Amino acid sequence: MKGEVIISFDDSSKDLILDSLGLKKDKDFLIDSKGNSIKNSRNEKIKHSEFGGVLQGSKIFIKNDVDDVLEYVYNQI
Amino acid sequence: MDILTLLSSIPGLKIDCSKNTTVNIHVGRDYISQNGKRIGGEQEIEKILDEIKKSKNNDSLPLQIINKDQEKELSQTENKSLKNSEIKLLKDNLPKEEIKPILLAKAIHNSILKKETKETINKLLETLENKYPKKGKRILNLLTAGYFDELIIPMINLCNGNKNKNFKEFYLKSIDFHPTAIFVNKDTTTHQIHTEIKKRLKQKTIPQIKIHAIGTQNIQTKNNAIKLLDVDSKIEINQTKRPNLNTIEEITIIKVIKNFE
Repeated sequence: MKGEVIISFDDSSKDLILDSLGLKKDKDFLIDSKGNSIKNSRNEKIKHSEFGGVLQGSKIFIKNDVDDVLEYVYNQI
Repeated sequence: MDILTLLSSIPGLKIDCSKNTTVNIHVGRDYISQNGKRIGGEQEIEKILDEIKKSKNNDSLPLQIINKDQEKELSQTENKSLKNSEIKLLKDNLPKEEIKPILLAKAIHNSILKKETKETINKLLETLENKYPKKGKRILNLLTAGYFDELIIPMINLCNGNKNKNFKEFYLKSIDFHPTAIFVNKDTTTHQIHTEIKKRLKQKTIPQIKIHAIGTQNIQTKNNAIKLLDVDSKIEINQTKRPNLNTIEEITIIKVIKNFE
């Protein structure tokens, strides 16, 4: 079966998603299981409050901001 | 088991298996939903989270995970109906900060064409106005009125597709002041339209001016401005109408007659 799946989350389910991705909060920022900071495509650390999701294609983390979405789409062109 | 196969086992979840498709599912704290309709509870959430956990150490994920605040921006800008060759042409000739508002304007245009809900369109419009207060609406107007297809993109080839200032200059000037088009919105006054028309008529190389107005109120404002013009043999005025969503768009064309003696 072919197709794309988009899972959306909200503030109430954000931590469930982060947990399933193996991410946790270090002070305000997100880190992975190895303690590495989670960054967006512009190399900016992402805060827990800013977490926007993970997009396909080499696990691109984004902030909850349209700039990151547009950056992602731009890079796909 | 791939993610789609897993999801297809959830009763109530709609997946069109006949073609490539996009499945949008929302995960709440203790439910999952599709198109606003609850289709599962904690058990279904666990299944989805388990699939994500299986992939967490891989270099990529089998799905997109996005905050619901950005979901529409993503799905509409990624819309496969974008003419990628044209966007690529623009990308090759304009800096990134000029492409991004075009992508967002394209997303809004796609939403309008797909008859998305008013809420979705308004949210995207608000994003456009907040992020690009000066140029966003202008780009959207030019895009929806067909000026990108008819003029801007063909101009790339005319400028030989070089990354030189000619096309970029032309593009930036077009966004700032389009010499042959005026767009009326709810905040535009009769006096403003009249002033804009006269500004363009002073430019001797302009063959015509198109004034676009959508909706009864805007059309009335436009027509009031036209009435203020000194209509003489130097210009010819015509009007066309076309349906636009659930309303009408009226376009007044002012043709400049050359060589008047």
